[in-house]
Amino acid sequence: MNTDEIKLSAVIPVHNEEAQLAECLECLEFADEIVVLLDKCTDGSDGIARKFTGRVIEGDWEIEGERRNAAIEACRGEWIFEIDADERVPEALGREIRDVIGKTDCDIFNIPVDNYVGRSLIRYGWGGLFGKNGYPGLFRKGVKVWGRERAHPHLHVTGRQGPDLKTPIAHYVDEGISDMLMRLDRYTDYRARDLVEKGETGSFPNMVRKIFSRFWKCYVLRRGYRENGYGFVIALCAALYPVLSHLKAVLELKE
Amino acid sequence: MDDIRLSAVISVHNEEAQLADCLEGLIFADEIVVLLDKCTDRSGEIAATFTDRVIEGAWEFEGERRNAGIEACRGQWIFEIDADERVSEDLGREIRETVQSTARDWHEILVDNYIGGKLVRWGWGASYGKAAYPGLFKKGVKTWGNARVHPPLTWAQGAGKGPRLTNRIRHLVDRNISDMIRRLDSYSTARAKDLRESGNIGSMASNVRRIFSRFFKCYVLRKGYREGGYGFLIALFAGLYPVLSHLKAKLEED
Repeated sequence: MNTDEIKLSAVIPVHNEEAQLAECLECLEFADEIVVLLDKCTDGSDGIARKFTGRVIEGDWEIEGERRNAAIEACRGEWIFEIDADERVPEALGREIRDVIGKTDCDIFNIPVDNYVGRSLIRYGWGGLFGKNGYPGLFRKGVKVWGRERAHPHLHVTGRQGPDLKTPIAHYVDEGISDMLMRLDRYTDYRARDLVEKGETGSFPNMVRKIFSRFWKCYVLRRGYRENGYGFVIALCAALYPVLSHLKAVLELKE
Repeated sequence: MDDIRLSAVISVHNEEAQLADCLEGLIFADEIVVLLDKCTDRSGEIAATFTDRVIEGAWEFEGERRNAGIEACRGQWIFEIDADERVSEDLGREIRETVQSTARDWHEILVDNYIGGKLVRWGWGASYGKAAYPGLFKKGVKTWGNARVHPPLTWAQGAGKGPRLTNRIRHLVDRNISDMIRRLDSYSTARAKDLRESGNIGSMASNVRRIFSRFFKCYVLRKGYREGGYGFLIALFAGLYPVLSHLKAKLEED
């Protein structure tokens, strides 16, 4: 396709996702190009990606933010739609995205997220850096830049924010409680390294207080209690994230 | 066979990295029995360089596996150990002396638990770690119950408990906090299976209460606070073990 005709790029960073990559890429047909960034992949992700697109970039990124910026950089479209391998785009969302970019004069849009644990849709209680209810995943090239943190990089956004899209993307967050705990382990590893690098490991009493405030926020204010037991585990993981990151930093990384 | 007074027994699941280290500390025993449970690594090869008493098989239940290990021992006394434990020469000597001279049937051994290279003495308990265990006993007096995790023990009638040994066994529990989280995950998964099978998974409310009571037990009563951050984590994970097991049993299948 001629570069001028590329209005919309869908971009996805991948680290060893052979099990679910095809399913994710199948729903991206509505985009004019698909860009797949393979980060340290040692499985069959590469072969799968190349069945869907010629735009495959391979490399090794240590920082989540840099990886995402590199992926965006490789897109040739005027608009960019960012997605992860554990997300699925329903047809209605694909249509809505094309529709919106066809007529808007805004620059960036939030996409609502339906989060699934196993096969259960978990609507309430996400947050505290442990899950998202929406993300600014549709934007004009150049308006969104990721920060340099390993976990949950910050966003620098310029341009006009449009209204949230209506159709949610389906996000298959975790298979179950074990997955949630492994994710907690991984995120706190990253976070601990970020804390040490910034020299801000914080104080232990403060992190202990956060257990209660964050649990309250997710379980009560964001109504995680409605979700039966998974809401409890989500709130628990969000609650423990700061204290575990702090202790990993202080006990295992410093010195 | 009459001269086998003391058997050391160890059950192993893929422990090639540390098995040799552990078995080297067991030369004080008259025989070493190694039970290989579903091993797919070099554990068998390593075991064979230390002993010819190697039993292979697949056991689903921790208790059955341990009973099979004990069953295979020919000694009058049995010393049970895990691959992540290390016996000092002093402890080996004390065990030999004890089985020569004791009038009782079983003895507890104190445990020094290490996380990474750090000795963490306080705060253990509530199914997330042990401060002592009944690891030295006469054959026939101790039977493990049928559970996947933390099987209960039954003692033969009239079996008499002797004094605790003075030397401690070194238990290399976890390398770091990630290991602790993974252990919490695998214990609670196994426990959830036991709960589902028992037909009684308990109530959410009582398991939430136990977060606090077990935290208090480990952190305050067992003085985990003396250990700083690791004491806090041990108490936290001991506290979360019941509620996570309950929720896995309730929300998830095998």
